[in-house]
Amino acid sequence: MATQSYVFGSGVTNIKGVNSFEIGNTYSQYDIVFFSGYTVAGTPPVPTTAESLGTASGHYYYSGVTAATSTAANSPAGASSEWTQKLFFEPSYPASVDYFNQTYDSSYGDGYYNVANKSENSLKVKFKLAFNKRSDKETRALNHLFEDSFNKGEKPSGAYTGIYFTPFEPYNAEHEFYIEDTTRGFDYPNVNSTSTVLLREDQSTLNWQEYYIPFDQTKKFWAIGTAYSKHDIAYLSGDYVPAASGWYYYTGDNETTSTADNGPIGDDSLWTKKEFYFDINAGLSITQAPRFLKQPVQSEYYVRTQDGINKSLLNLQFSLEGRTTKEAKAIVHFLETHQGKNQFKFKPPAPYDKSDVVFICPKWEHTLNYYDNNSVSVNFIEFPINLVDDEVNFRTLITIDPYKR
Amino acid sequence: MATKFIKYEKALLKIADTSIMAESAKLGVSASLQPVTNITGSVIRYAPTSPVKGTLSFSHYCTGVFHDFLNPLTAIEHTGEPLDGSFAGMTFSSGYIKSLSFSMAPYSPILFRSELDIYGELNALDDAGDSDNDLRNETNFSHSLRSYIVGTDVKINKKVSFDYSVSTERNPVVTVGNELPSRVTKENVRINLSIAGEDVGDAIKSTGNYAELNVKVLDTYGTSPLATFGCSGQIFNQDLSVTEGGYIDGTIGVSQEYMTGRVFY
Repeated sequence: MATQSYVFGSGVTNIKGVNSFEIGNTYSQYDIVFFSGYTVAGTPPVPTTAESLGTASGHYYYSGVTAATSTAANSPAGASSEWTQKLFFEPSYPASVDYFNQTYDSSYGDGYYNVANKSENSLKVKFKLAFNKRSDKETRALNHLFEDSFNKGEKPSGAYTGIYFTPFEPYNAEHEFYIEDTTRGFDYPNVNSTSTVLLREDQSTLNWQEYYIPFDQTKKFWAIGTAYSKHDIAYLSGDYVPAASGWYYYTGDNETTSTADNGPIGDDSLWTKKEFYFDINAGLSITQAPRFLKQPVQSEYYVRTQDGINKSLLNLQFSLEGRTTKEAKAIVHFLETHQGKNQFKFKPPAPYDKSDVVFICPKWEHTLNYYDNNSVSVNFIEFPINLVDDEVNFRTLITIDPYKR
Repeated sequence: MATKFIKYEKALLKIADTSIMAESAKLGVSASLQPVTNITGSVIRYAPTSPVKGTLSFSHYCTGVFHDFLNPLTAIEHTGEPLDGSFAGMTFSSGYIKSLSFSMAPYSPILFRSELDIYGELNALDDAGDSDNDLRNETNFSHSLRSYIVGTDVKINKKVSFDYSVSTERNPVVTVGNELPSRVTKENVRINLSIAGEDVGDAIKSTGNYAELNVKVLDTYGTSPLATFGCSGQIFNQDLSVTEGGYIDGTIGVSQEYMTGRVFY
């Protein structure tokens, strides 16, 4: 085995003792090597600049549970490789996914305002992950992978290569993430905790099929004859009625087989599209701070006068606690599809339970506390005009429904 | 499923494929649940907050060389390997030793008390139970008669009893999407030894008084120890007590933060 602790051109990290990959060595889980491709391919020695390194070159991490003697076939470039550059480490409970929408906000007075997304990538998430109580070896590999991600990507093309990671359900689609910092704790001999935040830059709100929860995590397209149960998520293609198209959430307590009548736009529908129907936990607290004018006169004396209409719009911050995985997925999916700026109906508890009050939710956080135990904290801001019920449902065919299968 | 009460003789305790001469055993399992209530005053559900955890506690006699797997000070702390075993035929596969303690007093056999944390499924109890008749032939077991303590002179000449214990924190590591731990760490391993006698020795300093002691456990007729349990730490407390018609009893407590160093990768 090569004994150098630093392989030229491989990128430097603060973690020492990373050796070159060698055929014939035995490797076990969480081993780190630098793979140049030279040994396997028999090509000339690797060039010395990162720019000219082949795509296969770089640090690799052994993900196999069983130790194995290395061969060409199970080398990082081999067909049956256990080596990876992806984040294969499994995060611990609790993990959280923090959503926030980047918007341009305009205030027009009298409580009227407008929220517009800054771009099609404005709905961002932060995966806040902890890798608690891990062995020294796993922690070393994990922190090396994090730090080495900063060695990738070359100017002037910009954007260093991110870390490929398949998050936990319901976000379980592989994407490229970026980190900006990590924290490692030395808890006890052979017991360490590492935490970081994974960021995504490229999720588009123009992708109607999925945002952060993949399409496969839903019931996909609603169909007659299918059995649906509470909190199922299905997409209705509205057949020439675009306003009817969209994501629907099954609110019935019992499983039913779908018919046109109990379907999303049926007369006895068990589905909702715009109604936030989820139970609110006990312990809700509502703070009100009505808008008013406060005119200083003299010697800290103020004259207070009323400030127009819509002066006490609700701004609710609360958490939906202890939810099943399925319900939490439906809650987050509902909020995702409203993109942090679109209105939905929500009836606060009495005595605030006015009908037809609408809200937007610009930020929320999903925390996976434990298996089948989730919390979703939300920030609902009341909107002064109910546009949900004012949606005009044109039945004139202007174009083909783009969402129609 | 058991349809009748199972006798003690059929309630064999086995750990790591070894029959334990248990005097008593108790297996408790509990789920950690959080009631979730809504604002209209109804229970939505009971949400789990951590894995279902069992605790197996038992007292047993040492009938030969002490089983290392029952000592929290063994190398298992670095590998996190689980112990498998069974109680009256109910099997478990993920046991983690959590504590060990015993007391020595004149004319008394030494009864070891152990505790394991258990994760994962247990199969159902049935009428057959489990037994090991070989245990009936065990006639020699750990006893205070010949057992003794050696090491630093703690200035207690007439030692009347010792209490020794090792305790650890076991923390399950559950990764997202799983119900059961992928690892159970061993942390904060602490050894405590108390010695009772006619005196409490030198007055303790603010930093404690150092003592290095070894308890040698022998059986009734033994000449060499079945096991040695060490405690190298600080004498941190002294107690004197007396009651009418009695004598002054002294007790000292020694505590060791047990660390075995760290192998950095």
